[in-house]
Amino acid sequence: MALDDLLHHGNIVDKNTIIKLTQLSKLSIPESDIDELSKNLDNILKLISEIDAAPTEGMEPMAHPLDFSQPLRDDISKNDINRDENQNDSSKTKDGYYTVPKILD
Amino acid sequence: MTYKSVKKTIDAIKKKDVSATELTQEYFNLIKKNDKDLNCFITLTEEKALQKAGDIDKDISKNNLKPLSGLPIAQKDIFCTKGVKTSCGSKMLDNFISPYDATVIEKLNEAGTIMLGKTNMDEFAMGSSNETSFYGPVKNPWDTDYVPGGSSGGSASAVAARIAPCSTGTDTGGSIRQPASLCGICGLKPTYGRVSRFGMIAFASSLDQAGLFTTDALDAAILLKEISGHDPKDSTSSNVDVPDYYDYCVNGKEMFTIGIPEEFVKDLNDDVKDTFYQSVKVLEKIGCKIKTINLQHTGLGVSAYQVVAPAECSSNLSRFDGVRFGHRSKNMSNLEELYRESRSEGFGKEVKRRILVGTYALSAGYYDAYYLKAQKVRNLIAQDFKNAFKEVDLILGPTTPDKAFKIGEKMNDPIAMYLSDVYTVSTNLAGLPAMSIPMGFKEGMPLGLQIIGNHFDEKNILKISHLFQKETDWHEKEPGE
Repeated sequence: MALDDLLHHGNIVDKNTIIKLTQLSKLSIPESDIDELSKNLDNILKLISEIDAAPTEGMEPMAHPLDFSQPLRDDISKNDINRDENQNDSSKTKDGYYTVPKILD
Repeated sequence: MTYKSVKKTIDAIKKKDVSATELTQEYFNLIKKNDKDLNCFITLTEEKALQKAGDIDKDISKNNLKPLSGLPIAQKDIFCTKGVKTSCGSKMLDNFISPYDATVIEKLNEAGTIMLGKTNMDEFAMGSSNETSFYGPVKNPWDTDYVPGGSSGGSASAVAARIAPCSTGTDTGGSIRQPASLCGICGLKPTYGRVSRFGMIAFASSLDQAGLFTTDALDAAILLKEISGHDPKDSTSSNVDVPDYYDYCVNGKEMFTIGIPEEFVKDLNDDVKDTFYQSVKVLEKIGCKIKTINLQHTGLGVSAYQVVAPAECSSNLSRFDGVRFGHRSKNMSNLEELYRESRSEGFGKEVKRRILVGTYALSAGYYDAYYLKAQKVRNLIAQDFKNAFKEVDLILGPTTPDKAFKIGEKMNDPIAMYLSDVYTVSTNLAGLPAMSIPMGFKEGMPLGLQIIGNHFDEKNILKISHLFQKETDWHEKEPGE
């Protein structure tokens, strides 16, 4: 969908969109903040919409600024991650596992 | 007693004019006296610092010297530091003690530096004023009613206030150069891939780069050599050789062709324009050839950046889920609530805003219109710079549209805040190196000159900055003088 189609709506980011975005991003926004957030996001998306007019026909997308390819290390087994050191926050661990609320009944 | 530069500091320690312990203690005295008004530091590491200083003094007595032996340094709180809190300016990581050192930290430690502490910053590097930090705003030492810039505001303010001789920062859209400009010091963002990002908490992985704050270009040259180079732990770090930047500053090329993009000057206010063109005259006087160039798509830089950066941040910040590290909510009875409440309690407003924008840009039905389109615009901007560098050695412009703004002035206007990066974001999109150096003042507040180079051409940026600083004394001005 082109940006100018999206922009034909007066308000790009309405309450339902915010609810969907918060579900996707695992955030919660208090009801009292939704109006202000909707206006902020709308303004940001209107700023972003300036790219719609850019002459990008035939242009490749650039994910990375330099011409690198993913290097691979040698296929040698290593064990240089110290679990005890990394699990220095014991309030979240038990016997080397991370504890979370029960998932399955 | 402290010294005016990194070079003078390390020379003094080498010659035993001062011990590492004496100097380190002096900086902690300065920090305790001045930082309550500035809020540059989140964590001070006095005990560890004095211990290391003592060890370095023992090494020096045996003539066992390293390149930066005894140099105190402040580290932005975005770099993981083993055994020391690493907060990223966020409640989300207020309880996080890193189990390892970032490569930048490791290299600087190995070179003999002494960490004074971790500096305040905009939360997760998202901001241009250092007002979004969980630990409160940082103040500009030139006038504490004003912002120092961001996100590396604490690092910039500390060096400007002379309570640290140098510091590290990171730059994703201008977060080294803009605070350097607003605080009247030098701020260097190297080429993407020049410095390892291992252990540098990620905001936008294709834009982030570690860099430096110093009071002059020669100091930046000395430090850049120590932090640069390939790191097998960072698959985006470059194998390009690291030159001796200091030697090049002193002995290298002297004549440059410098391009001034029309796009970087056409909207300047008169004060900034006049100061900028005074700087251009200095460069002409020392023999540089100046020409007008065109970077026709850089006007889309802020818009493209405000898609790419939030999109990447929405992905990077998904690791903060309350499970393995960082803030974990007590208000949860199931896994979904664990994630949602931990993240909602841990992140501030601006971070949430950017995550939501990024999520929107990447979501089904919008990906092509926003993210894919922004990546193509990114390529357009990169091509503009590539073409420009066929005609010129370096590109010049003001770092920021104006002097620092007042604390609170732009907090309710995210767009105004984003537009303060209008001259800096394009270099991040293109992966280019750039530096801001002091060029004058407006109403008593500093202004910065930005010099942009081609990929891995930091040496010429540093050289021209050094030549400029031989002709001017803006970089020697200190707040309160």
